[in-house]
Amino acid sequence: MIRILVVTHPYAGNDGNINFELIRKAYDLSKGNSADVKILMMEKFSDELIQLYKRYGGKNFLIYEAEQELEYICYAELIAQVCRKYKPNLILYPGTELGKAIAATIATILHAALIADCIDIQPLNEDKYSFSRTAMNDSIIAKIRCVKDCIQMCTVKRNVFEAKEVCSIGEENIEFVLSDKAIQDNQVPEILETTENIKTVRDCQIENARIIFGIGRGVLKDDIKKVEDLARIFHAEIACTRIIVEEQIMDKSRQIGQSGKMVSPDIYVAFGISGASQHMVGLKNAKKIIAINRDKDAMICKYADYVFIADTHKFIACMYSDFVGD
Amino acid sequence: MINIILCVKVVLSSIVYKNNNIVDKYMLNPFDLYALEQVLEIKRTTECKITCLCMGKEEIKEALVQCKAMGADDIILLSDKKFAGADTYATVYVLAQALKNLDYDIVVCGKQAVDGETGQVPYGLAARLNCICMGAISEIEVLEKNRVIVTQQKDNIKRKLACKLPIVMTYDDCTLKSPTINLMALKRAEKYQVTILKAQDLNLDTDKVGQQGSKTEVYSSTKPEYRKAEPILLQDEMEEMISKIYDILRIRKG
Repeated sequence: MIRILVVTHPYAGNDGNINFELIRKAYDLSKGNSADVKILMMEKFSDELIQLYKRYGGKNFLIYEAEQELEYICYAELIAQVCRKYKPNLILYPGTELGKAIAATIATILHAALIADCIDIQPLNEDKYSFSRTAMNDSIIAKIRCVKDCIQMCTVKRNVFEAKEVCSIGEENIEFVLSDKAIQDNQVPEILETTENIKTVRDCQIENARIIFGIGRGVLKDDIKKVEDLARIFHAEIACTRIIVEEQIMDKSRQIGQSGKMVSPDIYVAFGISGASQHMVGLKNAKKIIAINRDKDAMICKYADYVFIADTHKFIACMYSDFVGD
Repeated sequence: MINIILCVKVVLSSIVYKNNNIVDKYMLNPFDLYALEQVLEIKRTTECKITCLCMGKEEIKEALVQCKAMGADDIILLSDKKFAGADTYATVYVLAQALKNLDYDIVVCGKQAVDGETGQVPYGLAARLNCICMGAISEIEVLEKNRVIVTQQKDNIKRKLACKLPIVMTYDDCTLKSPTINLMALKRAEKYQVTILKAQDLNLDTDKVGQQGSKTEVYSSTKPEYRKAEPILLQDEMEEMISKIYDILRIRKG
């Protein structure tokens, strides 16, 4: 029997969506081969949370009651113990910083195959899966498989799989797990000081935005303010490509793509964006893409529903004077 | 003397600078360049030795000379045909075996490589070296023989942490600015011999390296096709385009 383990992000709070997405994906994967799916929770027992996870297809729960958030290494040791006992064929991790740290550690400890930032998982044969991710700066999606007889693991990007609710799933099974070895607390760093930065700008929510204006390298620095003003008028969020973040023009939280966020707007307006695959993968679920670009051979034109061939600077100026005023 | 090992990767310049005129085929991964700049800053005030450790083809040697010119003390290149085609698992194994033969107090890495973008190697290394990996470090405040005090910035929480050495750590940033290198330093660095180590120089099991040692393989690659139909193309008529975009956005709003 195929066994799937879903590692949930502990104390996810408002970011809990990634856990729903993983649980639902595991549920879908289990339908084809009636795999046994276990959901690992590493936080204080909460019936409320279990009921919530059940709505997305969770049925069998393994709970390690940690009273507080732990260092990644503690979670990794615990999961390694769970794996030795439970012997999963496939493990899904959230693509959060913590999830990635845990997964990379387990891959080494348990000699497992690990694929980072997956955008798709499909059954390949009886017990092997195919994992997709964008590859080396090319405009390609690579399909990756495990070639050794070992555990297959992947981290999954947020917002890739849809967190749809399932029909009633029946009574849940809950099993409490204990760590059978004292977690190496001598390795854990000593916290000398914690400060919370109060962010002056409100946290941006591009993941849930219905309209997004994307800014790429083709937009002049002085025009960004204008695009922001336009975005307000159309109730759009502002997002950007990686280069804009690297040049410190915008915050990382607004970056779309392989190393940024996945979004699913109804409309994405791409201002001066060339359309590298790393960026486009973040737009896989965008319903309509409008590209404004000087170059009709730009990659973005291959993805867009509307292609406006124009000088981005002039286009923004024109739009600005029409809708904002001079 | 504190031994810092900086793990670096050399990547194709074309991945970093698209469309620009590229002078050199290879360059240091921007995340690792940032890490190098940071540790060189520490070297100003703390007595330490910086060794850059890299795995790759011999032809990337020239890009590594830059590290020497900037102020790194030593450069080791792990280069062997057997290492080719490695996934992160096999890469971690080779790097860890090389590290085990070196004196190290702290292993520093960039956050990730711009080509692979997995960020898995530092955590894998820490697991192989039986220590922890501290990610998202913005600053090393104190570096002593047995202890380091670092600032870690995760989301909106900033923590000052004291860790017993050895550890692996990663910085949280990268730089696209080419470093200004003193010409004399560059000339001197060009005379420097990069140490090249092959599989036989390292105490390793050759079944665990390169493609053969990898747990994963890319078995197909396809062009992503997200569009369902031919696009509606407009050009030249600015007013027409503006009115069209207004229609699309307004329909959604209404």
